[in-house]
Amino acid sequence: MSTTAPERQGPGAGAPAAAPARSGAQPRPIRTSGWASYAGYGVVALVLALFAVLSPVFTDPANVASIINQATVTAIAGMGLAVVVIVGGDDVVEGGIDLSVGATAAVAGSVAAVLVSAGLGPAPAVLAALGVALLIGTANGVAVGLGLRPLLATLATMGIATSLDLVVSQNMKIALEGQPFTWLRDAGGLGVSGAVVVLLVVAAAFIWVFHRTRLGVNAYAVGQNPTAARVAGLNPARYRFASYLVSSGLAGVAGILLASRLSAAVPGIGTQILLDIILVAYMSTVFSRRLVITIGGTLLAALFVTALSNGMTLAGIASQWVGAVKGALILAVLTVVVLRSKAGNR
Amino acid sequence: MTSASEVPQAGPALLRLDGITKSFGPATVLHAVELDVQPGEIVGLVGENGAGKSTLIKVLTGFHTAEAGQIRLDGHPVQINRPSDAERLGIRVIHQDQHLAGRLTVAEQLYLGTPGARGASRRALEARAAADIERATGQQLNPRVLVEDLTVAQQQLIQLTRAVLAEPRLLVLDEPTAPLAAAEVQQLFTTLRTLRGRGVGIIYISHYLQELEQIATRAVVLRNGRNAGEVALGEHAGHGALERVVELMVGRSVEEFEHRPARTARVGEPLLRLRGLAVPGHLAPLSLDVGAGEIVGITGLVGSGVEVLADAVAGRRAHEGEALAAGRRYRGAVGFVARGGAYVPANRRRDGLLVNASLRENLSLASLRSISTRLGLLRRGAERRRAAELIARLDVRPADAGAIASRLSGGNQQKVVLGRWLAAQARIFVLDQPTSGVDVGSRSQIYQQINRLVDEGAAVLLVTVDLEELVGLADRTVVLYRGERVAELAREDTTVDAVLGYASGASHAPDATQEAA
Repeated sequence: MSTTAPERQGPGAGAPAAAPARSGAQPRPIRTSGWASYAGYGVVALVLALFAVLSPVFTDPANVASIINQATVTAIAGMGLAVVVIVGGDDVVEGGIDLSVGATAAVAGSVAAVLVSAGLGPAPAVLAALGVALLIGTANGVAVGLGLRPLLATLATMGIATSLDLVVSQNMKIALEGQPFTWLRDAGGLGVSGAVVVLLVVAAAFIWVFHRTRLGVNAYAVGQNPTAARVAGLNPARYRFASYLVSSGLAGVAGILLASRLSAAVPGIGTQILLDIILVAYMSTVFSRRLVITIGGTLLAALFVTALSNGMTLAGIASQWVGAVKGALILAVLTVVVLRSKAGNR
Repeated sequence: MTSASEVPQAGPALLRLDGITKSFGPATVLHAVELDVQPGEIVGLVGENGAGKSTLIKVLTGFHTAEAGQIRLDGHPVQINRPSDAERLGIRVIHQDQHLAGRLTVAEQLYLGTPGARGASRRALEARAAADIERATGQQLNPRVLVEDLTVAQQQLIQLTRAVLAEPRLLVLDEPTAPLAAAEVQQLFTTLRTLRGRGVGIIYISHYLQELEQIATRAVVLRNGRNAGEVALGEHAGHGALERVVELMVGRSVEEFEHRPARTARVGEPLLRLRGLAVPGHLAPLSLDVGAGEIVGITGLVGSGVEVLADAVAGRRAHEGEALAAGRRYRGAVGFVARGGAYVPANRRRDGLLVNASLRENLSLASLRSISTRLGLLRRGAERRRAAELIARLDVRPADAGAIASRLSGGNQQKVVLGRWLAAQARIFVLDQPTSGVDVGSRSQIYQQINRLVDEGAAVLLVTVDLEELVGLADRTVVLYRGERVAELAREDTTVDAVLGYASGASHAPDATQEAA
C-alpha cells in the first residue's frame, strides 16, 4: 500500500487505476538479429548488381577506383556531420545538425587556392584553410552551446561561409595546382589517389575512436540521452562543442580534396555538395543493425551514392532523369529499412 | 458504516452513487461504492493510491462504465456512458495536471473551442475574459498574458473559470492544491466557497487532509475499492477527526510491513551532508547528514518538496545552501558523480537509461574509465566480464548483456540503472522512487541490493512516496510538508500511520524544526 506514488502498481485491487503517469515517450524498439538486419545491405547490393548488368564497365577496376576517388569528399565531410548527429542526437529539429559543412568545404578550398596562387607554400595555405574552417566550427559550437537550435545556428553560419567563399574567390574559379594537390588528385600505384589514402586514414581513425574508445562510447551516450549522460557524470556540452569542431575540420579537409580533384576552387560549390553530405550521414543508419548513425555506415553510404551517379551515367540514363532515379532508389533503400524496423516492433 | 442515510438531508441529494462496482479483467477495483453530494456541499474523497478514487471519478464522468450500480442526479437515475453525457448533465472535472496550450493567451485558452467566442474581436474577447475570470473566481488575471508565463495557480484559475462558465451542477477537483503555495490555497478556497454558495456540489480529492478539513464538510474514505467509512469535518468535526481519517485510510487489519532488523554495525562518518539546502518556492532550507552504513528516508506528498530534493542533491537542479560529499563541497551532476555520488532518477526511462543501447553499454556508462586504458582504449573483455557479474548479482532478465534496454521490464531496467553505480563503486546513493513501476519480484531484489550496499558502508538517501518501502528500509525518516521538515522519525517510530499523519498535515510534531543529529 502506498500513499502518493503515481506509478505504483497496487497489489491487485488498484493496479489498473494507477497509470504510469511519468514514464517517458515510447522509444523506437529495434530489431537486433535475424535476416532483416541486413536488409539495407541487401537492397544496396541489388541496386549495384543491377548496374553491373546494365553496364559491363561498371565493375571494371578502373571504374571502381574512380567511384572511390569521387566518393572521398562526401565521405569525409559526411563523417564529420555524422559525428555532430551522433553527439547531438538524430532528432531532425532539435538534434545535432551542421548545415554549414558544404559552405565550409567551399571556403576552405578557396582560401587554399587563393593563398597558393598568391605564392604561399602549400603547407601554410592548407593550415590557413583549415583554420578558417575551424573558426566556423567554433562559431557553430558557441552558438549551439548558448542554446540556439543547431538547425538555425548552422543555417546562419552557412550563409556567412557561402558569402565568405565568394568574397575570398571574388566569385572566380581559382586554379589549384602543384604538390601535394596533384598527388591528392592523380591515381598513383594501384590506381589509388592521395585523396583515397586520406579517406582511409580518416575513416580508420574515426571508426576506431567510435568503436573502441571511451570517447566514442560516451559520444553515443550523450547523443542518445543527454540527461542520463549528465546524471552519469558526463558533460554533454563539451562533447557537443567538440563535435562542431570535428565537423568543420573534416569539412575543411574535404574542401581541399575537392579543389585538388577539380584542379581549382569553384565558387559556390558548397551548396551543391551539401545535400549529398547530409544524405550519406543519415543514410548510414541503413548499415547499422540498431539503425543508428555510424562512421563506417557513412563511408558505405557515400560509396553507394557515388556509385549510383556513376552507374546511371554508364547505363546511359538521360541526365535530366538522374536526379529522379537517384531519389527513387534512395527512397527504396530507406523504405526497406523503415519497414524492417517496423517488423521488428511486432 | 457507510454514508448516505446517516446524513440529514432536505431534498434529494444532488448526486448519489449507489453500489458502483467496476472490474478490470479479474481485478475488481470498486466494490459497491456509495457516495452522495448535497447541493452546495464540498465532500472530501480520500484514500491511498489504488483505493479506487480515480476509477470512481472516471465512472462518474463517463470514461469507464460500471458493471453494477446506479447514478442519480436530483433523485433521478441517469446514464453516463461517455464523457459528453457527463458534461451535458453538468458534471465537470478539474484534473491534477491538465495541459494547457502554452503559446495561447489567457483569453484564447479560456474560450478555446467555445462556439460563442467565434467572430468576436480580440479586444472584446479580452474584456470578456477578464470579467469572466473575476466573476468566476473572484480573482484577476491579465487576459493578454501567455499561458506559459503564468504560475500554476494562475493556470488553475483558467481551468476553474472554464469549468464555471459551463455552469456545472457538480465539480470534481483532483488534488487541486498540490502545486500551490499556502496563500494560493486560501484563494482557491475562497473561490470554492463562492461556488458552494451558488449551490454547486463539489467532490474534492486530496491527500492534504489538513487543508481538506478547512473546506470540506465530511471526508468519504475509500480503501481497496470499498467505502471504508466517513468522517465529519469542519464545524461538525469531532475530536481527532483527521487521525480517524488516517486510520480509515490505512485500515487496522493491514499487516504492518516488517521492520528490517536493527543493524549491528554502527553508522560511520557522514558521507553526505546537506547544509541549508533549499530550492526557493519548493523546499525550505534543509540540513541533514547521511552516514556511511545508513539509509535516511525522505517522504512527503506531491508538492511537499520531495520531488525537487533528489534532483537538488544530485546536482541536477540549482539550489541554495551547501551539499558535501565525503566532506567536500560539490556542484553539479558531474561534481556529484566525481565525489562518489550515484543517482537513480525517478523517471528511469527519461533520465537514466540509454533505451536504445545494450545492457552492457548501460552498465558501463558511469565507469568506462575503470575498464579502459589510460589512453581511453576500451578493454572489451573486462567490460564483458563485469557486465556478466552485475547481471548475475542483480538477477537481470534476460541475462544477456547484448539485449537492448528498451526491451526490458521496468524492474529489470531499474536493476540496470542501479547496477551502473555498483560498477562505478559509488558510495553515496540518492535513490528517487527506486521501485516505482517495478514488479514485486524485482522490488525485493532491489531492496536486497540496497541493504547490501549499506552493509558495505554506503550512505543512502531514499526519497520515496512508498510508505512500506520507508518502513522496511529506512534507519530514520524525514517527513516534508509544503517544503518544510515536519518530523523526523527513528526506525522504530516509522509506521505507515505516523508517516501519513505527518505527511498529510493531520499530525504535528512538537519538534518539527529540530535539526538532524
